[in-house]
Amino acid sequence: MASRPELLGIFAHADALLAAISRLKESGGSIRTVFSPVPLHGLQEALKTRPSPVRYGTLLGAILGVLGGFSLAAYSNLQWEFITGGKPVLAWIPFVVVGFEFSILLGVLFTVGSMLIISRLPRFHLPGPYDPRFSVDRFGVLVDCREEEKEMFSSILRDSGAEEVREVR
Amino acid sequence: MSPFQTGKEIGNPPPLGALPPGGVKFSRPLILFLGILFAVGGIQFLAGIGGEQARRAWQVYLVNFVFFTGLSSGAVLFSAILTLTGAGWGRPLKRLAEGMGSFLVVSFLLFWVLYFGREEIFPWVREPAHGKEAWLNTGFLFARDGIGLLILTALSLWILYHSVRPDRYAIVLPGSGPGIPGAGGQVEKSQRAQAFLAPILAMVYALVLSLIAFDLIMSLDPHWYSTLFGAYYFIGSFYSALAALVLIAGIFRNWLGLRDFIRPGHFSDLGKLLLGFCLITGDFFYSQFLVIWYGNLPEETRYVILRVRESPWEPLAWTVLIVCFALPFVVLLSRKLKFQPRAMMALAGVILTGMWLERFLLVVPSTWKMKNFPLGFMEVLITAGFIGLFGLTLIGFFRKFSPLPLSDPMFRESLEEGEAIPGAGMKHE
Repeated sequence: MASRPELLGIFAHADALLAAISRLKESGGSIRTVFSPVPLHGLQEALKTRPSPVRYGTLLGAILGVLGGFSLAAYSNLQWEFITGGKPVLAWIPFVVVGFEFSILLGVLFTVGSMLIISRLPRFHLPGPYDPRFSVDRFGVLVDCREEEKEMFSSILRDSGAEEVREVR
Repeated sequence: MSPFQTGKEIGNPPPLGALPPGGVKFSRPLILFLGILFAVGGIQFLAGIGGEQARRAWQVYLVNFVFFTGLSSGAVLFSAILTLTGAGWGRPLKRLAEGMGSFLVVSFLLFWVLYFGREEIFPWVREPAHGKEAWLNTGFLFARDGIGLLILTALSLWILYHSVRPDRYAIVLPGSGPGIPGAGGQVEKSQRAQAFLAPILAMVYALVLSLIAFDLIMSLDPHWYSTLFGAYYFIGSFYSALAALVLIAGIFRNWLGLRDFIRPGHFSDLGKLLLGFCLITGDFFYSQFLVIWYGNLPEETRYVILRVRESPWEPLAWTVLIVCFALPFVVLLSRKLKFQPRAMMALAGVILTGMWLERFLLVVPSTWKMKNFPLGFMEVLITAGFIGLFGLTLIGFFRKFSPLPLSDPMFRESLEEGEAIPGAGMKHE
C-alpha cells in the first residue's frame, strides 16, 4: 500500500494537545490516532468521534443473557418437573434472579469481547509512530496529511505547543 | 442586617463569572401562588377531616407526610454524602439539597398533626393488635417517633448551620481562591464539624426512617411484617430526593442564572446516581417480594396480594412498577439524555410522581376498605397544599442563604480549576 505521509506531534500538556486536535479538525485534518499515558477527559469531545460500537455488544450480550438465563432455568426445571413448595414448575419469579445474573455475565463478556475485536487486540507489534514516552509523560497526535497540507498542519501543531513534530510514513 | 444580605460588596468577581450574592429575591406572584396552593390544601384538609370522608383526608395526609419527610431527609443525606466521600462533583448542588432539607423542621411539626387523626389512621388504636400492645400504643409510638424525628431534624439543622455559617466571609471576599483570607479558620472549623456530623447523620437517617416506615406505614396493617421494609422506605426516599434535586437544580438554574455553575454535566452525574438508586429501589422491592412469594405464608402474602391482585389497586401497582423502575431504567441508559437538563427534569417529575404513588400504594390499601379508588379532587388538593408548603420553605431558606455553597473549599476549588465549565481549559488554554 502506498502509504500517505502522517505527521506526529508530541506534546507535554494535555490542554495543548486538545487545542491542537480542535484546530486540526477545523482545518480539515483527519486524526489517525491519539497517544496518551492517561485517560483524557474531553478527548472524545475534541475528536468528535462517534460513540464506540462496543455498547451494541454489551446490549446484545445483556439481552442474550436474560433470554439465556430464563431458558436455562426453564429447561432445567422441565427436566424434572418437581413441584416444590406448591410452586408451579415454571415459576418465573425466581427465574428473574437467574436472568438478571446472566444478563450481567454475558453483558460483561460481550463487552470485553467486542472491545478486543473492535480494537483489533491483541496486537503483537507496536504501531510504527509509537514513542515509548507515550507510556510515560508525553501525549501524541497522529494526523493524516497530503503533501500540500504538510506545512499548514505542522505549523498548527507547533503553534499549539508541540514539543516535536515529525513526519512518519 | 443579616450578614448574608451583603452581596453588593462583591468586588472582584471570580474568574469564571460572578458568584450570585447571598440571598435570592423571589417574585411576588410565585410566593402568592405557592401560598394559595398551601391555603387551598389546608382548607381542603380541614374540610376533609371534618367531613364525611375523614379517613380519605387523613390517609392522604399521611402519604404526603411520609413522602415529603423521606424526601427532605434524603436531601440532607445527599449533602452528608458529599461531605463523607469528599466528592467535588456535586458541590454546586450541595446547598440546593440543604435547602430541601430545611423542610424537615416543617415535617417535624406536621408529624404532631397525625396525633389528632390516630383513630382514623391506625387500626390498632381502634382495636388494639393482640400481642403487640407493648409496641403499638399511642403514647409510645408518638414518643419514640417524635424523639427520632427530633434527633434527625436537629442533626440536619446542625449540618445546615455549619454549611451556611462561613458564607458570610465568602461574600466579603469572593473569588479569592479555595482558601478565604480573613475567615480566621472559620471555614475549616465548619468543614470539620460537617465531617464529624455526616456519618452520624447517615446512621440516624437509616434508623429514624426505618422507624417511621415500621410505625407509620407497616403498622397500618398490624399483622403484616417485613424486616426489609424500613430499608426499602429509606432507599426509596433517597431516590426521590435525588429526583427532586434534579428538578430543583433545573428550576433554580433557569431562574437564578446559575448556568455557569450547574452544568449539563451535573445533570448527567445526578442521572447516574438516579439510575443506581432506581436499580437498588427495584432490588429492595424484589428482595422482599421474592421471599414473601417463596415462603407463601398467608400473613405475609396478604399485603402483597391485596396490592397487586385485587381491585382497585392492581392497575396502580403496575403503574408504580413501570413509572418508578422500568421507565427510568430504560431512559437513564441513554448518555445523551442525561446531559439534557430539560429531559432530566421531565424524568425527575415522572419519578417523583411515581414515588408519591408508591407511597400511596403502601399506605392507602391498608386504611381504605371501600370498593372505590380514593384518589380524586381531595387528594390532589391536599397534595398541592404540601407542594405549596414545600415551595414556601425552599423560598424562605433561599431568601436568606445563597443557592451555591459560596464558602465551600471544594466548590471554590472547582471554580478555580475551571471544572465548573468543562472544556474551559481548552478555550482559555
